[in-house]
Order: sequence, then C-alpha cells, then structure tokens
Amino acid sequence: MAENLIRIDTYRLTPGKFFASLAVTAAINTAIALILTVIGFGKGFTVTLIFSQCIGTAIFLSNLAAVPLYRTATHTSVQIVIIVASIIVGALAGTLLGALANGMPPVLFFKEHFGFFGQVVLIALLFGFIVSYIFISLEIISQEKIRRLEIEKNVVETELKFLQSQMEPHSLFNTLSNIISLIDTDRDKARRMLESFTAFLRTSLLTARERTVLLSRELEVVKHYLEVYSVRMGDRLRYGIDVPESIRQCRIPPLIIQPLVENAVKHGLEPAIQGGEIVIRASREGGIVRIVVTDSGMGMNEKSAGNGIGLENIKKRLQLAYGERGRLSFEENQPSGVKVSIEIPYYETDAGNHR
Amino acid sequence: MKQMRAIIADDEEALREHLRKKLSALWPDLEIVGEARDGEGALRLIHDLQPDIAFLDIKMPGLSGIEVAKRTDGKCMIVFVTAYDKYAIDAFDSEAVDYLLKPISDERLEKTVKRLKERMAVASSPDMSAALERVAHALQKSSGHLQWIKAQHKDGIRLIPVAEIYYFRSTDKYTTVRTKDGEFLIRKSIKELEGELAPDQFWRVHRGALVNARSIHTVNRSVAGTYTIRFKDISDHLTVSRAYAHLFKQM
Repeated sequence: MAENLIRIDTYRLTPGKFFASLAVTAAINTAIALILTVIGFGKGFTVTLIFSQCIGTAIFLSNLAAVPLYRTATHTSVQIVIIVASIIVGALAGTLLGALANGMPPVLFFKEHFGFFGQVVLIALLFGFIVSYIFISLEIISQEKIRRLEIEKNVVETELKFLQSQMEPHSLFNTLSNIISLIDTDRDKARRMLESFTAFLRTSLLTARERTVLLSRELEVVKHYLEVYSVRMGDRLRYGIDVPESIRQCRIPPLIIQPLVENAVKHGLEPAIQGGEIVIRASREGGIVRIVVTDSGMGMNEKSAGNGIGLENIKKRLQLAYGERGRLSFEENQPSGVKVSIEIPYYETDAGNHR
Repeated sequence: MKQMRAIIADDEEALREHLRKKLSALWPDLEIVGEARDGEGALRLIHDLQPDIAFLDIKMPGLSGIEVAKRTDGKCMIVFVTAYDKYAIDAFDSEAVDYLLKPISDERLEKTVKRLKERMAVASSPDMSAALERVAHALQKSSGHLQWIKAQHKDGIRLIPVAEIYYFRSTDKYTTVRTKDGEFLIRKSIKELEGELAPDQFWRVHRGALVNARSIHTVNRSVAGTYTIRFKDISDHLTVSRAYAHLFKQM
C-alpha cells in the first residue's frame, strides 16, 4: 500500500502570511529567551535573546526554503528527512549568526566556548523541532480543512452533474423511444434493455453518493451503460472490459470511468458511420493503478467540447483525492479515436482516499 | 392522387422499424421505398429514388438530418424526427417544416400525415432554407474556438484541453505549450493560436506569449512599471511587454 504523504503541497506563501509568520516567530523567540533566562541558562537575557531571535528566524526561513524541495518528495520518509535537515541547517546557521551578532567571531567562539556552543545548538534543535512541528501541524490542519470542504463541494457537484447528464432529455427520450419501439417488434430485447437501463440508473445513483467505490462497482455501472447503448446502436458498438480480478478491489472516486465511456460513445462512436469499439483496461504497477479507456471512433476534433459530467470535474476530483498522484491525460488512439488514461494510487481501503 | 413514396433515415434500427410500422398503419397508401442509417445514405436514397417525403432523424452519424435537408434543394418534403433538441424545436415551431418528437405518438403522427397530404394537394413545397439555416445555427453547440491542442508526445499524440494550459510561448520554429504535466511543442504559431482560441480566455501579453487568463495567480507591477505574471501551482513567470501592459493597468 502506498504511503500517505504529508500534504502541505498546496501551501502558498503570500506576503501577508510571510510577515505574520515572521512576527509570530519573533514572539516565540522572545518567549524562549525568557524561559531560558528564568531557568538560569545562558549569559544574560540580552545575549540569549539575540541568539534566540537569530536561531528561530533562521530555522523559519530554512523551513520555508525547503518547501519546493519538499514538494518533489514522493515518500513520507523523504519528506521528514527534508524537514529535519532544514531544521538542522537553520539551527547551525542561526547559532553562528547569533555568535556574530553577539560580537563573538564564530571561529573564536567555536574554539573557546565549545561546550557553550554545543549547548546552544542542542537547545536550538530542541526548540526548533517543537516549534516547527507545531507550525507544520497547524498548516496541515488548515489545508486539510480547505481540502475537505472542496471535496464535499465536489461530491455534491458530481451527483448533480451526473443527474443532469443522465436526465439529459436527448439521451433519455432516445432510450425510451427505443424501448417503446422494441415492445412492438422484439419484446425480449425491450425487456433486456429496460433491465439494463434500470440497473444502470440504480447502480450509478447509489455510486454517485459515495466518496469512494470499488473499481468492480464502477465497472458494473459502465457495463450496464454499454449494454443499453449496444442495443441502441447494434453492431456499430462493440466493447470489451479487460480488468484483472486482482485489482477490482481497488477503491476509486465514483463515476470517473463512466463519464469517459459516455464521452467515447457520444463523441467517438455515435457520430461515426461505421461505429467502433470501446475497450476499458486496467493494470497495476507497484502502487499505481492505470485505467485506460480507448475508442476507435471519430477522434477528438480540436474544437469539440467534452460532454457529460465533464472532464474538468473528473480531473478536479482526482486532484483533490490524490494531489499530484492523480492524473488524467488524453491521447490520439491509433489508427483512430481517443485514448484516455487515468492514473491513481492503489488503495483497498477508504482511508487513503479523501482523507 | 398518385401513390406517395417516402424514405426513413435514422441510425437506430428499432426506431426506423417503429416509424415504418406506425406509418403503414396510419397511412397504408404511403410506400416506404428505402431506409438509411446515416446522412450520406439518406442523401443517396433521395437522389436515386426521388421520394416525395423524407423522414430524417436530426442526429445521425456523418451528415445530420439538417445537412441532408439543406442538400435536397426542396426536391422532397422533409419531416424531422428528433428525441429532444430544444433549440431545434423552437426554431421549427413557427415554420412550415414539420417535426416529430420521439417517442412518436399516434396522435402526433396523424397530424403530420394530414399536413403532408394537404401540402401534397397544393403541390408546392415551401422554401425552408431560412428555417434550416436557423435550426443549424441553433444546434451548433461548439463555440468555434479551439478546445483541444494536439501535441506530439513520445510516440503518440497528446490531446490537451485548453483549460489545462497555463500559457503558450514561441520558441524558434515551434510553440511551447506549458501545462502542469510539463512542456509540449506544437507547430502552430502564437499568431494562429490567438486567432483560434477564445479571446476572452487567452490573452496576448507579449509578441511571443499567449496566457490563459484563468490560470493567472497574480500580476505584479515593478517599480519600473513592468508587469510580471505568476501562475497558480507552478513557479514560472512571464513578463508583459509594454505593448500589452494596458491589459493589466486597471487591475
């Protein structure tokens, strides 16, 4: 199972935030100097205050400077190493700076007061870790809050958009007309189509309300959808679902594959005189699941807009659920049509998704 | 009255069969001389068989029903069949062109049959080119602006939704497309792109740069008066040239 990253990847530094954090740091530095003086450590309040300000500010800046580096990390362990390293660098730099500011040339200070230097660095590290921990935790909490709100907003939006797209009069009336026509001519077919359509509506409506669903569940929705359309389109629609049993237990955000299939049918196959084939494949490589929807239809016109739930909405939901690790990309399929790929981390529990 | 001949065009077989059965019940004298499953097929039938009436589904693969009707030059009477096209119906409503809504009801079809017979007696088909023009326009959903950019990527061609693009920048013979996933090269020039992209979304900020306004995070003005654009989520920035600085002056 993939590790969960500590997420401050959407952290944005504004000038206001920067100066506010700097002021808070200065206040904490003063408090630390006071505490140390009260417990009798150091060479007087002024000297300690100067050290404390230099060290605290240096650690703060060093933490900030580490953010871009931190964003490139793909594992929690790497992230922690980066944070720890930035605190150590900040503590050492701050101590040397403090020595200078206190009128002690660093080299001399290092030689003559080695014991004191060591103590300062140790205390700097101790407070550095405590304060950084609090700062980062608060940042994570506030980011999580924003993310959670956005996810909730998107869940509602997805359900609404889904309902809109399914109740879109053109598809609905076409499907109903087909069923009515078939009642006269081919009752068996009419019943099968009505069953598929009902199953599609039921599974997809239930699915739309969940935060995550099993891949097998989403594929069921897709299958019912394709069954309805294959009655309508006859031999112009051929389809295949090629997903190994071993990854059907993966949890994914609901309705991320169905809209891609819907797009492929409506914009790829329906407008094509010969129709075509839709294939849904999924594979797993390490912690990553790759879901690919391929159609051999008309291909994407540079001016054609996507339809249905909207590719934009899928992309946004993937990003909210998985950050940089949720990807959606489009390619031209050879010899014709479109190939859409989704990449997400493999999770078998709800915990990893939408934390 | 001579026997009337008609064709039916719909891409869905069940619907063709349904209409044929209903017509044979309501109008036994009408002879269905052909059926087509796409626009080109319908046009061929109209040309070869010269029917009096063509029942055309609007949404068909290849040519749409509207396009087929436009190319018949009033040679036969057209009845459009559609599941639901709000705009099309609005556009038809006051016109001589008839339309049927799916699922087709007997009452409605009877009305159409009556209307067709009456018009046949007058023996003049009304000019519906203006109405067709309006319907075609109403059905034209795409904005006409580029929605996708095609870019060579590894051994395939990537399709990039324009909403995902931060900016275009010209580089030698090519144009660089910047997205969150990285940079792609395309052959279209900034000038061509400017003409094809939605002008309210993509702004020219430089001779060689076109920016997606929706991806801008901040625009900073330096002491010297030059503007720098920063984007959401990526650290790139672009300078606005003097010629285009007016775009940001009021911000």
